[in-house]
Amino acid sequence: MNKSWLFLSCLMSSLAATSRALTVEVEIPQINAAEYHRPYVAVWVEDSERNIVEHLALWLEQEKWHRDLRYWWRRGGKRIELPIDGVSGATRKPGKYVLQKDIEVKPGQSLIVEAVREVGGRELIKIPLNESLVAHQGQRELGLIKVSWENR
Amino acid sequence: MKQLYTAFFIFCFLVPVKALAHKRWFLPSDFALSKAEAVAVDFTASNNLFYVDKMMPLAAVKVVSPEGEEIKIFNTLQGKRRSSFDFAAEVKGTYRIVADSPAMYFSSYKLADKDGVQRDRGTLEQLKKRLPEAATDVKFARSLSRIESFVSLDEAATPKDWPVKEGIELDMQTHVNELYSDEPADFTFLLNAKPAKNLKIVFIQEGTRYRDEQEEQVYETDEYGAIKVKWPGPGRYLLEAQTSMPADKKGVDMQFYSYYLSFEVLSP
Repeated sequence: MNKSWLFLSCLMSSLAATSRALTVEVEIPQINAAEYHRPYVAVWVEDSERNIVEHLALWLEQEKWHRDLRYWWRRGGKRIELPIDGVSGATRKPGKYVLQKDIEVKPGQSLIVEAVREVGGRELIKIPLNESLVAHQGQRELGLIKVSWENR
Repeated sequence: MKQLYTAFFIFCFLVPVKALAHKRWFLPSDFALSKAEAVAVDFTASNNLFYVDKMMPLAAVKVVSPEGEEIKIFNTLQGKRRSSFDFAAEVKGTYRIVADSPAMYFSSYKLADKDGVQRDRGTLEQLKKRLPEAATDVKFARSLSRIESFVSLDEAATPKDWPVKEGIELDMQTHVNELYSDEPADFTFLLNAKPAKNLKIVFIQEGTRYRDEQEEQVYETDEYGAIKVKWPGPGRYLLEAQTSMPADKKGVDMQFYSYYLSFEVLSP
């Protein structure tokens, strides 16, 4: 009787809405190009229906080219008002950047990193948030993306 | 007997009208903008997508803002191969670029001393004037075409209704400025404000010059005038729809309608 009650309460607490401290490390690779421009980058969490749940970073320049982050633009980028405190800012030079955010846990969520570079390429990385530590190596416009979290 | 007559009749007209009906299209410099800026548009009749060939007149062209108002076009040019104009996309939403061409008339008839069917083109008055006395099997046809394109600034909103007196119209469930090659699109067509049943819709992707086949994607609308399109890939496309029917207008025997829409499909 006691054991089944204990089991049930454990199960219930794990199913209750919890929040995660999400840590994302984004690497912008060094690219040797005759004409190099810093990439436009969008980092966000999307739900199972591909809706934007929460932005982690938006590194942008001219408004004219925002729509070239075409997945972000389509999924909601076109509807948001900028600036967003602590999220949006200027494009960044090659290097590793750490982003942190508290996210409410829901099944089917993914982390998306999209990057596009003027006179360069475009890369989209999608990481399902179902393991507590994931690393994904980008091919061209993005370097290593590391995702980790702690349950609060 | 009546069916045979109608079939022969349609054949007589479909052949010349199709030959005269080049693909016609607008090509905007951009379909989706994230900043208020000018858009340049080319208007041409050309079968090669998207190479300009024959100038289309600007008289029938209108640009309608997301608020449903006709706005000014400027820097206009009517060249040999295309006409061009700019417009300012300043308000968030979808701009409609449309040309409802004035009606064109065709005649066909037979002459005892000449082989085959004779054809003519012009206004109805001109056709009647030019008709030889000895002409037999005389038939007249009227053709109306609508050429359209859409450009969205930020939000791809449902464009305001623009009056269509008659002809083929598109009712987009999936917005024309939000097409992606990994998602099917839903379109509904109206003919004279009613669902266009069994209307043949043809999609051709640009770049016909660089392949050996047109690679047309053909769809037929259902009883609601609807189709569900699966895109072969990203790129710019021309949608073409044509239909013909016996006319109820006095003095004309056949009525042709055509519709052309240019748009882009992005990769995911």
